[in-house]
Amino acid sequence: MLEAPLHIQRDRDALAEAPALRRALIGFAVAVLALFLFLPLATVFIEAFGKGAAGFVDALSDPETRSSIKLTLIVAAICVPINTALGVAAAWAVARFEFAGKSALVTLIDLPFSVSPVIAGLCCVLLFGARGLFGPQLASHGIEVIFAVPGIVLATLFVTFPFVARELIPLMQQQGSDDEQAALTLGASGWRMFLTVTLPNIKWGLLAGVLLCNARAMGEFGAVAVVSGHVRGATNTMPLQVEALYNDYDMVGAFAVAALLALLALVTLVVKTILEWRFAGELALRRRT
Amino acid sequence: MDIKIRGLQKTFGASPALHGVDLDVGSGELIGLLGPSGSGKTTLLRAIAGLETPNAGQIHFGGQDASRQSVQERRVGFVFQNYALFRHMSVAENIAYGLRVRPRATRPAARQITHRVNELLELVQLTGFDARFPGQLSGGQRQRVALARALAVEPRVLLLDEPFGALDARVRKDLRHWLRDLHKRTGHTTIFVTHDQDEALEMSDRVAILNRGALEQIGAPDEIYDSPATPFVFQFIGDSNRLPVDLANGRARLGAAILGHVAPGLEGAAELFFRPENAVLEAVGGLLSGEVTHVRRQGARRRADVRLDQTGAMIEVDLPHGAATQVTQRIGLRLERVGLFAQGRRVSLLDEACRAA
Repeated sequence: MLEAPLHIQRDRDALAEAPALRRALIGFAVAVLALFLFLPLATVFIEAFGKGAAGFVDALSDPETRSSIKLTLIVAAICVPINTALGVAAAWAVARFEFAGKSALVTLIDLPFSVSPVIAGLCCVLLFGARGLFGPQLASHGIEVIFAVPGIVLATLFVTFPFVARELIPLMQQQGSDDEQAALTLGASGWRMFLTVTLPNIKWGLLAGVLLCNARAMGEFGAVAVVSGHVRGATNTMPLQVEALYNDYDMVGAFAVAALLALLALVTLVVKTILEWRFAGELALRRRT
Repeated sequence: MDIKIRGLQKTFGASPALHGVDLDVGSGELIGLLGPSGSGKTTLLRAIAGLETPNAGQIHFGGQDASRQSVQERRVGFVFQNYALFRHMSVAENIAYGLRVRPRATRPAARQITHRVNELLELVQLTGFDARFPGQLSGGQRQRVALARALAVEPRVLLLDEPFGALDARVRKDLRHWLRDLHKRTGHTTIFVTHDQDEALEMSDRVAILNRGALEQIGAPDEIYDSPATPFVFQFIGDSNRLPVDLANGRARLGAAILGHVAPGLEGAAELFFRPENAVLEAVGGLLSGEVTHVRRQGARRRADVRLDQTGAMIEVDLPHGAATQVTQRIGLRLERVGLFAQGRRVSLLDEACRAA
């Protein structure tokens, strides 16, 4: 009797699961993704265009919605550059220097990630509100923070602080400071060294951090909700406007703004993926050098 | 440009990296800083460059106190162990960097910079590589670009941190000759750090040996090899045998054998060092004798393990060319160029039983 020929699986390595199990696991992951990510995303766009493209455009030309878009852009335009500068400075300090309390600083940088944004907003109110620590003094000088744009900016600054620093710290630690020291021995001033050596070395990581920071600055709800006061046409950012319109049963309006935010998220994600891909190529090149 | 270093100290946290290093480097000299890892040689080099701030001590460049000068003001050419080439710049841009970052008043014209870059590319034998990027170069080529970049600013001294550390053996050997030759042509005062004794002995005008943050000995390669000043140098450079010796009543004893006389008043334990090639075979019956336990070939020479009759210690002895020495054979030994050390200090042997180095 002939024995059955041995079946040799060339494409299976030792760590791979059995084919059936593999297919089941992949199927499960795809199903979860579809249910919790793709489906809601599709719903947003379907609802936004529920009354056709004209309805979508109409919804976005509402003055209050316009105002919320404008406010969101202003807040992002203030917060992103500030947090980029602060993030680079923090990453520089952590990656380049040894000092007492360094690990405490690293933990503090992560604080906005671990603290609920609502608490961040409440802290703002406690500090700058009408009965807060600095509120009365500021009010006597005619400066409004809470229920006004400065409060929204402050809350957003707090929430979006970690993004740039988080991207840069591991990158700068891994790169070390030899390139920078080489620039110094060649006579470059500190600032010149930063522009010509440091910045080019961290540009992809920095860009990724800025993108994430921007996405969060535009999409932040909790912290902003506490400090904004929900004044329509004045202190409502886009996420707040979505909620306001939704509570008014203005589905098309709410989902139109939501669609804009979702679009922003998608663009951020795509650009970041492209960056990481580019970045991976550069990292691989560096490893060879 | 000569360099004078006095009492240089540096501590990192609690651990001292350098304690009180004095070093004089003549103008145009090529000095190798040699030591095991953690001996402070790189710290010393970086302190000279101004990349580390010493806790105490002075560094003078050509009579001028450089201790308080910034890295930029010191005008040193520093070649990093991993070269630290700017990877987003071409080879030409890398080399031109030091000239381009100068303030407008002292910056050469673009045409002069190009000219200088081409000159340097020729000097390091990389003509035609100007448009390449560091990622497209081999290790040896990168090393030469780093050197050209450091030379572009006409440095007062050239400092190299493990210049061949990251290269394979073959390229290493070629580059050694090449660098030695380049030094002859450009005449820069040069200090390089290495942990490879062959490299240091072969390339340097003088070798400075560091151990645990202190200078053990500085001298010409022959001096270092032939008359090591300390037990550490004896053991660190080349091969050596170490035998415990007793000092008593003005005599140095190895077991029952009297090696020679020492100045009266020296008592206690001492150590005798000698190299395998300085143990001379002779007829049994002299000062020292032993039994050959093992013979092996090491490249051009044959080396024997010998158990000394006097103390039972094992030593290594080089056999003369053509000697028919075999295992279990008994041999007599005479020692030359020995070093006798008591408490880390050299002790002179006053007579000829054992010739001191």
